[in-house]
Amino acid sequence: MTRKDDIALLFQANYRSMYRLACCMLHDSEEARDVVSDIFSRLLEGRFVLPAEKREQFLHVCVRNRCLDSIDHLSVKQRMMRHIAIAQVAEARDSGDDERRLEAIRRYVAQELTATERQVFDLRFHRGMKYREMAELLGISEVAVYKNLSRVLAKLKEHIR
Amino acid sequence: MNRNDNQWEELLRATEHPEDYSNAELEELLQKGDHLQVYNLMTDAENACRQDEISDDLVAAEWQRIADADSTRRRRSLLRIAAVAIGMVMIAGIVYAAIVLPPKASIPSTTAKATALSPRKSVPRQETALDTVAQARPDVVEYQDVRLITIMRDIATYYHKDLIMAMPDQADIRIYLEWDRAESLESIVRKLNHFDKFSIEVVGNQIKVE
Repeated sequence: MTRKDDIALLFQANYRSMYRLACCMLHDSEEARDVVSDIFSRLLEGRFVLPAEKREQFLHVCVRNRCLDSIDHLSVKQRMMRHIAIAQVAEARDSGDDERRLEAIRRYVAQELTATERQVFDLRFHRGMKYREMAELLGISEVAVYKNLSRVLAKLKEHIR
Repeated sequence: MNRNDNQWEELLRATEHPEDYSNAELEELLQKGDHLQVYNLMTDAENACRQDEISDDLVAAEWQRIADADSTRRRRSLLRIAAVAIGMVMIAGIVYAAIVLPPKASIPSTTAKATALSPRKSVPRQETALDTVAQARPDVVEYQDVRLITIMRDIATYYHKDLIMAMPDQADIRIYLEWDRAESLESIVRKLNHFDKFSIEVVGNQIKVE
């Protein structure tokens, strides 16, 4: 197998998860695509060499680093406008931890939240609705939306430590 | 009302309308209590709901695009090398001809031409040779005017270390570096420490930039 074939197989096996990771970090699908493609372009050019072991993990670390590089220069405001996480300690988390945490959130929402709480969670985080829109849809005040969402977040915070 | 309801209301408003706040106000807000943790939890919640699936066709098309770009780059590279090689052969031929052909008294200009050519052409030939050597060293990565944080992340990743940038301002320093990955981490750190604007040390599993 040629080196290029080997990289092609790695691409097939890892592109989706690398792209997802980049999307989660950058909240911009075009930029995420560029980040992942750039990594494989550099790999083909021989500008970096994969380690003998844990190659998939290495590729995901590369994605993380490129994304961090890309968002490093953004101000807190710009990050909040794009809903990008703001690291408490730089470089603290790895992608495996991220995926486990996200899976834990999905499971908790599906199994532990009440129907109303799940609806609030879904409207806000899945459908990306504004608080005002949620209030109109649910027939409650905006303050009540904050209250419901705060309860959901408090539960999640307690569960996802 | 739960204590958190009041505590987080401002944060929830700010996450929906960050444009209504100044950067300083947002930073101050995030520093309050557990606001930063809750903000990150909200981004996690959003990420947990993301559906960034892409089809097999798109994955295949993306690989084709990258592979095609690489092939084009390689072809150009080969053409450049071929051009350089032809150039070298021609120069060598001219010099050889100038040296081997017996100088004729009747045409002194040939000798003069050879003498003039030799030293002048020897410089680019040497440069070409060095350039070719650099291309034949796959372990060498050349960074030209690249941000320090980009370089340090590559190095940290390669040597399996965590990176700590103590002073965020240093991240944007741009430097030129030739990194030979066959070298030890200590060796490349020693090289980097020749720069005045930062100092790097390896402590256990961490690379600290200060």
